[in-house]
Amino acid sequence: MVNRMSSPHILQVLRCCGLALLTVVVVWTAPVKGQQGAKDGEWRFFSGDGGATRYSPLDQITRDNVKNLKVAWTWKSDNFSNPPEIRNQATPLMVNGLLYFPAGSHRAVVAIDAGTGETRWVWRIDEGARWEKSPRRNSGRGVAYWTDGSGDERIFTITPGFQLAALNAKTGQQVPGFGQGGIVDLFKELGVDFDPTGTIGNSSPPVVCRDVVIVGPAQGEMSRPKSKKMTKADIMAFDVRTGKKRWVFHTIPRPGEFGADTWLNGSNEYTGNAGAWTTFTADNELGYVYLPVEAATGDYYGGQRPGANLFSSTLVALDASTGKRIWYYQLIHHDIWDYDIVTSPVLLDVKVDGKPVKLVIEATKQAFLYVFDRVTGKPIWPIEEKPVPQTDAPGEWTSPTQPFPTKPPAFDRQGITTNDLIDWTPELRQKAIEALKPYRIGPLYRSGSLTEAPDGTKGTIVLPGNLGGANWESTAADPETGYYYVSSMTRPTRIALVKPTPAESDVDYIGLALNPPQPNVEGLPFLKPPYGRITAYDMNRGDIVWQKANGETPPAIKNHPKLKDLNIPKTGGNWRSSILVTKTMLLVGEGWGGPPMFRAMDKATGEILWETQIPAGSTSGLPMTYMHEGKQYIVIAAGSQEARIPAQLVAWALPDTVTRPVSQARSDK
Amino acid sequence: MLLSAFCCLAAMSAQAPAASASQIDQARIDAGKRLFADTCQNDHCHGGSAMNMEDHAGFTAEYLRHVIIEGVPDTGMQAFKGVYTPEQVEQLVAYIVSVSADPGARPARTAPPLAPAHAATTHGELSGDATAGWALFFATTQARNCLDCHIFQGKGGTVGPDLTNEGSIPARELFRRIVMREQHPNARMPTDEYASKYSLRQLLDLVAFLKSTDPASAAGVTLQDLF
Repeated sequence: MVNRMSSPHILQVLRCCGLALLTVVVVWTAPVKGQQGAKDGEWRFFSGDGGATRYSPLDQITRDNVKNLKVAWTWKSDNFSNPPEIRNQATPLMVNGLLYFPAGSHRAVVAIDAGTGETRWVWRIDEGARWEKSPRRNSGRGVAYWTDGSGDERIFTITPGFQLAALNAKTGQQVPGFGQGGIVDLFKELGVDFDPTGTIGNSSPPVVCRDVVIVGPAQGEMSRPKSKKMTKADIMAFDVRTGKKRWVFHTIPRPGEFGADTWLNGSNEYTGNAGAWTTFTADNELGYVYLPVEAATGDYYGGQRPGANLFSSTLVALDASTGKRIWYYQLIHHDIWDYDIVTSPVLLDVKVDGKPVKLVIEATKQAFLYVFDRVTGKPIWPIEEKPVPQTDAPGEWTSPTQPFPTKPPAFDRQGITTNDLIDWTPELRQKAIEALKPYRIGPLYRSGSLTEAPDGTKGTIVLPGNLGGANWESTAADPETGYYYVSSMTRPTRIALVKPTPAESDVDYIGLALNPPQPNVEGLPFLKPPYGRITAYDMNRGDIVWQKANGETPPAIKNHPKLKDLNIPKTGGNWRSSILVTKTMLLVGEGWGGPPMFRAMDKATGEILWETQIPAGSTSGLPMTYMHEGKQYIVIAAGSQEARIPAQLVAWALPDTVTRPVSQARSDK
Repeated sequence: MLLSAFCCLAAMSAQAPAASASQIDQARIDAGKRLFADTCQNDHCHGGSAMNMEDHAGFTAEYLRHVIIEGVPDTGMQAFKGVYTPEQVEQLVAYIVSVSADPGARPARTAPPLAPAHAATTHGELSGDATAGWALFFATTQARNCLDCHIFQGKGGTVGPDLTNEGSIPARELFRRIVMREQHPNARMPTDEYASKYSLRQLLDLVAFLKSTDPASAAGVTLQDLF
């Protein structure tokens, strides 16, 4: 959604900030008409605004006073499931002084006081076998908010058992006029003639655009699918008031529909998946929803679905009111790397070559940014179809070409050559070369290969792997500067195919495992650092402004006996940071799997301004901010697997004794 | 914290020749930690949609080894036989046991201690395999499994009684309750009275599993105990 800064809001700013700011405000708002970001000191969307900028114009916390931040409150999820959930990926919403978020593996919805963390209401249902067999049995990433502006306020959530619930935002009660007593059974809405229990669910919040609430299904992981026949993950939209189904979009076209000819041998009839499991976005002004569609059934092998497989691994723009396709761009033809499309399409208004343009930016696992005009779907910078290596896996089909963006440059390492191997010492480099000899390596889009290949190799090590590059937690943007931030990790995957027994699968080949073990060099990674990074782009120019390692060098590297005489720059680790952008700085959680660090960074340089260790553990959710009773809060979910600290929300604010800048008053609500 | 998810495993050979037993154990745990982070932890598996680490608390090395090698039927836990080397399995087991050793603030969760799998006892009797029984109890391949109706360790249906701590019931009584309809005149228990679902060996395994929740029943269950 494009959240334009309204005139009353500008006046409020001017009243509070004085005339001195007038010139600046005029300069900012005149050329960049579509001012985006979280409005009015609230956080009404999973990613701050409908365009997933994760930007808030709040500025009470500055680079000067950030060092004074203190934990204001914590909220604990210990008793929300048995065993307690450790990793909560949520970003709370903040509306009218309440935070809304999901908690525990049954995905209860909780409302708490934004100033104290006190629980106000909890909603939870028991879903029995639907929950027990759910492919997404966790608290999920968040909820969605809708209001008619006249007192009807709703929180929407998708349960682990795949039901869409509408809750009264004030009370937590199910809204009677929506579906059946506040609930729409999404299994029934799929309209399939089999029991889909256990095959489909969701862990991302639904998306509200205008008067529809849109559900993008998710499924289990498919490195070793039991069958080529799988539930199709149609995208469904429901009326926000009644819950009545408004439209459905077939991500796998049915026979006769547009794109069906990209499925050879009638494979669209039985193939499934192609959901939109990650969070997605909508432009409320245009009325378009942007769907990042995942791969089709078979993460690593697609011999049973020859063809380019539209709309799998495709960015699709639909009319939110009708579900009609506006434009699409397939980012990976015939995806057999489990690349999916994984980040929220970020909607950002910038000036390219002096001309205002409405962008949609898609960062991917394979470390590309694909940048389009979000109105027309036309690439901003050319995207070229280039020949790619072809498969020799029996029965597999590979696309002759794949689309390569010419600009901006990739944000992480792509493909493996000996130049990418560690060179801390000649001995280690030689060992890395030896360690990789049993495997195939090569450029991006080299496909997986047999665990026992005729040439004696044991599979292909691809980089980025399906757990590398960017993912759902990776992106943020600054509508004022046109900067775009993406976190990534340099993590390869070994794609090794095996022939399943008939009991295992009816597909010809499946993965040896989702993530089979890979070689190492005396306990060290075989690839050069950094292992995790944050990259800042100026989207006006399509260039990288800065790139930094995410975090320190892990002890396993720093203290390695073979490296003790070397001065190794920060390597970061194999985890992804989560990023919040405010008027004054970046606020960055180091990420799940990493040390429990939370940092403030300079937006223009990546310089660390402040950092703190979170007692609850590593950051598992994404940071958000809001203003409540004159105070700016920053909130993030954290927990610790090894210390067994269940998921918490941690809120920071400046203590009352610290003088707050005068501009804070403007966003009080 | 799990500090590393690198594509790497600690090479044992570097430390082995001059290392003490405890150093080898620690090296094995460290290697297991890296291997776990690299191959087990992701959004779909441990730390994601599957069990959190704390679920492993109290599991024995034998049980973990069995689950890693054989998998758990019809869950995301595949059989890793042929994926990990035997040494890698031992590394994973060493790491998970090391994390489980200190249950922290919460009580450790019990898991089936293993009776020898279908081994003959010193008296030549067939004994139940608690792990196999555990797999049957949770098996989702079948139209019905025990978990549909019974809770075990907080999970499962509420139609029948919670079976988490029923190990003190004599094996013979448990067996009768599973197979004989007359034990449940008004209940919905689909007994095995007409011997259609389970083989005698499987019934023995199921009883061994239920008995394994009782520390006093550590001796295991033999075929003779059922009759």
